[in-house]
Amino acid sequence: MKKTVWLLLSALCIPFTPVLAAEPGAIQIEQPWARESPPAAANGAAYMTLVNIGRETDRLLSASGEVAETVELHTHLMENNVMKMRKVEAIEVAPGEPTALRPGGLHIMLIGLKQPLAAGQTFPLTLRFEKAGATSVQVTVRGKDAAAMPDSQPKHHQ
Amino acid sequence: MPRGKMLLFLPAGLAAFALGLWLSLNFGSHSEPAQPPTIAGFLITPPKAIEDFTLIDQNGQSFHKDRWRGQWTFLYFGYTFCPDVCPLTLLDLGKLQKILDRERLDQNAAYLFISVDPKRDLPQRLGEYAAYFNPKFRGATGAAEELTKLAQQLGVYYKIPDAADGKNYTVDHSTAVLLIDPQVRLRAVFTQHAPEVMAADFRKILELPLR
Repeated sequence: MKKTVWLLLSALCIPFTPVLAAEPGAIQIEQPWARESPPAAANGAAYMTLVNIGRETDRLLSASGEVAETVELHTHLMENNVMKMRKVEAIEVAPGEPTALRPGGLHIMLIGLKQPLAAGQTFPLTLRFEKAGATSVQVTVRGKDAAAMPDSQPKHHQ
Repeated sequence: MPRGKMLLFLPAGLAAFALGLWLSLNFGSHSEPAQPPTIAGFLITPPKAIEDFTLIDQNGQSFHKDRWRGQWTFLYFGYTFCPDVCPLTLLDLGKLQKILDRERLDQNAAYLFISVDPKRDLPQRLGEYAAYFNPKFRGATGAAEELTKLAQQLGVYYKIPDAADGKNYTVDHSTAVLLIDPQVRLRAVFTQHAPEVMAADFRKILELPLR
C-alpha cells in the first residue's frame, strides 16, 4: 500500500521535472543562445545568463555537449585594444547579481563544431555546478544579427 | 566701497578682460582650423606610408600594396577560429558598409579581413567567410613573416601561441579597424566599432583636405 502511494506521488512529480531541470538548485538559467556559425568557421560560442536565487555563491565548473569536439569555459580580456581569449576553471555565480555570459565576455566555447550551427535549431548542453549539480539546457541558435541583441549591448564594445 | 577705490580697480579689470579676450581670440583662431577632428580612435597625422608587402587573396593570388591604391580600404585582422570577437567586429563592419552605401560613400571603399592564422585559415576559406558578413568583403592572408611585417607597420598586435601545434589554440589580437587612404597610407585606427560611429568618423576624414 505504502509503495503505491509513493509511486503515485512520484508520478505526480514527473510533469514538473522539465521545469526543475532548467533550474538546478538555486541557479536559474535564462536564454541560452548561440550565434549561427559563419561558413568555414570551426568554432562557436554559447551565451546565457545565470541567476543565483539561493543564498550561497555557486560556481559553474564545466559545460559539455555533443555539439562540438571540446566544450570549455572561456573569458575575454581586453588589454590595450588587444583581445585575449582565455580558458577559465570556473565561473562564479553569486546571489543577487546575474552572471551574464555574453559576446565579448564570458562564454561557453564550442571548439570544433561537429556541424555548422544554423539559425533556428537547438542543441543541448550539460552544465555542472559545484553546488547545484548538473543540468541540461537547450541552446537556441540565433541568426547573425543576434550579436546586436540589446542585452549584449552595454559592454560588447568598449 | 568708496567710489575712488573702485575707479582704481576699473582699469585693472578692463586690462585683464582685454587680455583674456585677446588670448581667447588668438588661441581660437590659430588652433581651430588646424585642429584635426576627434574620432573614436586615432587619426594618423600625417598619414603613415606603408612599405610594400605580399599577401595572398581569397583566390590564392598574391598581391601587393598597389592593389589598395585609389581606394579607401578598411582592414580588420583576425582569424576564423575566433568565435566571438571577430564575427562581432565583422558584423559591425558589414553594417558600416550598408550605411556608407546609403550615403553614397561606399563606391570607393573596400573591406578586407586579413587572417593572421595562415596555418589554419586557407585563402579559399576566407572568401566564403568574409562574404558571409557582407557580399563586398574580401579575405586575405599571407606568409607568417609578411603578416608580421604588415601588422607591425600598422601597429597591429597579434600573437600565435608558441605551442600552437595542435588544432585548438586561440590568438591574441588587436581588435582595431584600420583605414588605409587611397595613397596606401595608414590614415586612421578605429578602436570603437559601432557602425554609426565609424561612419561619422569616416565622413570627417573625407572632409579633410588631401595631403
